[in-house]
Amino acid sequence: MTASAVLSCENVAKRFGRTTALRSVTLSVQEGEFVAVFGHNGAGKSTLLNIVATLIRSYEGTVSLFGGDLAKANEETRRSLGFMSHDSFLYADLTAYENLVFYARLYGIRDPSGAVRAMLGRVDLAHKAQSIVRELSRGMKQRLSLGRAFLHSPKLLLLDEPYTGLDETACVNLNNMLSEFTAGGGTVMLTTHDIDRGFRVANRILVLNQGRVVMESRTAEIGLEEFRERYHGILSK
Amino acid sequence: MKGRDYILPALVFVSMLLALYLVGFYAPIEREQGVVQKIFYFHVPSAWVAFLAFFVVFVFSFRYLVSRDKRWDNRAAAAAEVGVMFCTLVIITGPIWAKPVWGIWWTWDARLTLTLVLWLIYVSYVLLRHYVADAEKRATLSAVLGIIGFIDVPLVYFAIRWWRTQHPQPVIAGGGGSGMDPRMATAFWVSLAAFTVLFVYLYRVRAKQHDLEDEIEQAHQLADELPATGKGD
Amino acid sequence: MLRTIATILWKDLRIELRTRDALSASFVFCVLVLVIFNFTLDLGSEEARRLGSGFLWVAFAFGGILSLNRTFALEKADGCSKSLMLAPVDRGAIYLGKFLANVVFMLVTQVLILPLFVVFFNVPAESAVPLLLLIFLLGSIGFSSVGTLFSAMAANTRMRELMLPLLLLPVSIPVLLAAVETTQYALGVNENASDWFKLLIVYDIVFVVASYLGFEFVMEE
Repeated sequence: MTASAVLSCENVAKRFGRTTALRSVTLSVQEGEFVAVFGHNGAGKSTLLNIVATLIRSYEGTVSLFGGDLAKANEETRRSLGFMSHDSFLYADLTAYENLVFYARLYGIRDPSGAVRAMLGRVDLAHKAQSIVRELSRGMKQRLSLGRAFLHSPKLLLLDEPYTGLDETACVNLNNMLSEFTAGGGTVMLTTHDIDRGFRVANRILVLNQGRVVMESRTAEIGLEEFRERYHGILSK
Repeated sequence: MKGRDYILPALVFVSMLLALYLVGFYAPIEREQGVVQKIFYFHVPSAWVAFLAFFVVFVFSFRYLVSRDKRWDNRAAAAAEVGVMFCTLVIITGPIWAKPVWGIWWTWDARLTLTLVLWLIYVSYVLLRHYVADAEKRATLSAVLGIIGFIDVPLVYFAIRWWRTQHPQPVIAGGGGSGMDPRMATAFWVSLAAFTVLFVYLYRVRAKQHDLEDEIEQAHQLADELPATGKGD
Repeated sequence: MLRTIATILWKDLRIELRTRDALSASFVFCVLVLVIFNFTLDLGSEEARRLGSGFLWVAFAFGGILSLNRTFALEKADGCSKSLMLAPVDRGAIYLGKFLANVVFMLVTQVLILPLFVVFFNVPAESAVPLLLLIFLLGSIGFSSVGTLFSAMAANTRMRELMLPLLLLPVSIPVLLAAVETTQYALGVNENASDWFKLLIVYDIVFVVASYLGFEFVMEE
């Protein structure tokens, strides 16, 4: 746990009634890293992400986020977090523009309308700015969701299965935005089933199995094929 | 069970027997109302216990929110479960008393109406607990309701009292102070004590049950975590 | 803080302006309640004047519950309540924003219903309109204060729509009673209602504060 660790977890565990989602997770993420977390369904990936995002308040173990105890996370901490999951976080009866302006105002962004217009351009939705979200296609909603997550320039971006339901162009677009983000000093942690995409774009990978971190590596140190083999080996145990 | 554990049940037994004896044989039969009036010795103490229980729910709800210790939630739930039972008794004994004496089942008098509203709040508390699946969410939501409900009670009391003074109706539970025979007073106070002790006993049993449920739950979780023995366990 | 409240209020108003879901549902429901009361109880004009306030507030209570349910249902959809939790804002401000939106919705319904009430119940209310509006405001504040808290609570349960009236109606008895008595006073049925006005104000203050404090706990995951 070095000084520039954006996130560090020590023996984090979480139970939901009888189900144990996380048994003991210890990891650390440095600034600028792009971490992809793999694991089968029920391995605890979403739970881990939700804990870090401050959505799950009670858990065992310690988590340190931006150098401070997660349990004491305040507004400032949340301001530096971005989160994206299969929920769109969009109000179906507001327009694309109105949705983003709402979040821009909540996050205290200066010149909300300017920032929103710029973001709509970046996610290629400028032409749909006045369209109600209910009328947008799935792919467009996903792009808008993404725009929402990036809007306030967070330091740490957490994405839960971001590639699900995206077509090829959208995936490429997403990866481009994420690479730009990390190039600019941002840190990314995403969970995914998609080994190919996740491996290619990340510079570090983690594998969760039955609530524990069972494998960890830098993508530079291991080839995709080798990783695929080891990953399937873990899953079949 | 240890020897100590017999004290409270014994106390309940003794005090109840004493109360029943006093009510049945010692207290005189009321001149106007007849034997039916003796329901008063159970009706009013039940009401007292129902309100006491709600106060207990309030205190434990508060303590839970401050400490997040599940045991406080168990205690609040226990107090509410026992309290709703006594509250139901009040509402059942009220009409049973009223019909032979005043000829009507219900009059919306201040005390009875207040108890009915309390009963409704209790029921909403119990239902809320029933419909929330996650244990922690259940504890937190119930605690907030326990506090809000309790804050509401004085306001309900005043509202109903003023409403009743503007639209007066016959009062059911007239007894309680005005010119009561000393023997009746004795029977009443003993009955009150007996009911309070009964409440404490029932509450403790229920709270212990909740605690034990938690322990069983934890044991199951630990068992789930043990590695498989390979013998097909 | 104020900015957050204003933003949330703006969002709810904007959605409502566009869909008019909550307002139309609660308005229609209020009309139905009043009409049904009129049918089932064949009232003479004197009785209608005396009892009308009660029916009016019963209608407002049930209509209010519909719009309260609605304002939280749209948060639960698409995980928006989670995104509110993620936002770097004071949870109390979220409460106040939603609470104010609910007050506005109740008040708008009430203002629209008032002329219908005057017509259906033949109530001479013209001179009392300013006072009635004040009573509507105080009553809506009281009802929405606990209502907003409880609808957030109910949204966490399996029986969302059923839970809200179960929770809200018993606890709101003082404010509903006070609203009815003060309305009767405004319509010339009662003589003195100063105690009831005091109760309205006390209830409003107590429960806005209590709900504001309690909301923090209810919004957690």
